[in-house]
Amino acid sequence: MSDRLLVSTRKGLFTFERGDGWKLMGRDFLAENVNLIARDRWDGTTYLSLNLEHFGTKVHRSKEGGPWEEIATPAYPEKPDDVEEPPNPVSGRRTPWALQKIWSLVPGHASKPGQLWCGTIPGGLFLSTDNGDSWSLNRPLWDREERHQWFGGGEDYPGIHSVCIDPRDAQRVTVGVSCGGVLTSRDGGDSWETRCQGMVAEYMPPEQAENPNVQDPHLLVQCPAEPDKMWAQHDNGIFVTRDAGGSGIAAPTSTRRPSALPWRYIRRTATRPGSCRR
Amino acid sequence: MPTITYTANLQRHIDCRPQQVKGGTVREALDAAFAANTKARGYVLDEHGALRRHMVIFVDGEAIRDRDGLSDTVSSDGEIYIMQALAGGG
Repeated sequence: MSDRLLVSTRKGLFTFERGDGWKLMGRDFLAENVNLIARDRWDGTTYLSLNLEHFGTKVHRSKEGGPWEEIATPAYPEKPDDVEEPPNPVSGRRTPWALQKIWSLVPGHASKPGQLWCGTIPGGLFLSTDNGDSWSLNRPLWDREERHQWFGGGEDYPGIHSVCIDPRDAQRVTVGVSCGGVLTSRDGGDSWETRCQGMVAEYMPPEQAENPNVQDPHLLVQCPAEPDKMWAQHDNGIFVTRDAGGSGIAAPTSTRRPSALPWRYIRRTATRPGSCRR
Repeated sequence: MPTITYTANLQRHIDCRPQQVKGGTVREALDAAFAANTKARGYVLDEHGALRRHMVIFVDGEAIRDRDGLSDTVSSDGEIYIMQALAGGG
């Protein structure tokens, strides 16, 4: 277990180190909303995103514990005039082609140094291959027709909160969308397939309950030791699959509860390193 | 030349002292300012050049009307203020 803990908060980034107990060793971005932090364990680079409200979202990087430097922020392309962005069937709003918030920052596979994935609101997935110096929007996912059914779960627009890289295969990437279900790519993001079979949203109208594009996973966790196993904490309860990286269509095993009561709501699911057992 | 003044809160993040720039519209003036200070652009405008949702620009005391195109005109001695849009309170 690491002896260093980075805690991102609405009031800044706090660094604790363990010695004789945990001690506060550093404060950065004091009073700023540090909404995400991620460390690339392969090259020691740490990334964070700031939500500066009025001034937008910013991304910073620290290499090997060095000073923080602002790097590129993912930017959406201008929507072409001949591309229709229909009103969302739930919210009635048209999804803007503009960054609202960064919702996940995930370093890439061990075999892909410099890779950094970034999930955003309003639903775009970005990839950097140069440690965040530049970004590109994953168009195969953004251009999927199903995206127009995605809608915001607690936010004005849908967002990608989870990016799971299969430790056995850098090409296998799975994302969780709130609300838009679970999608997997087996070719590094060139194509995607929805893998929500078995998930159910009982709080939706019956006709929509099993629509994969309205499922609301909140967090996906892939077991590092048994990558075929993946959990999805979902508005309807917790779902688990043992076919996360399989060749066929995923058939997540529902462990759903008849109704997820508020006090049984689980915001985070974590696996112990080296084991899928908790 | 028009003068651009930034909210002091923005100067917590980037160097953006008052400056005089060329330009007959807000867009032209900002383009001139951000050409020499590229980082400031992303704090005021979004990726498509529109004024950020919670920002506001005043020209000689009047809020601009064209928040996307920034086509509002500026006189040669105009005063442009860039600041946060204030909301809430009571």
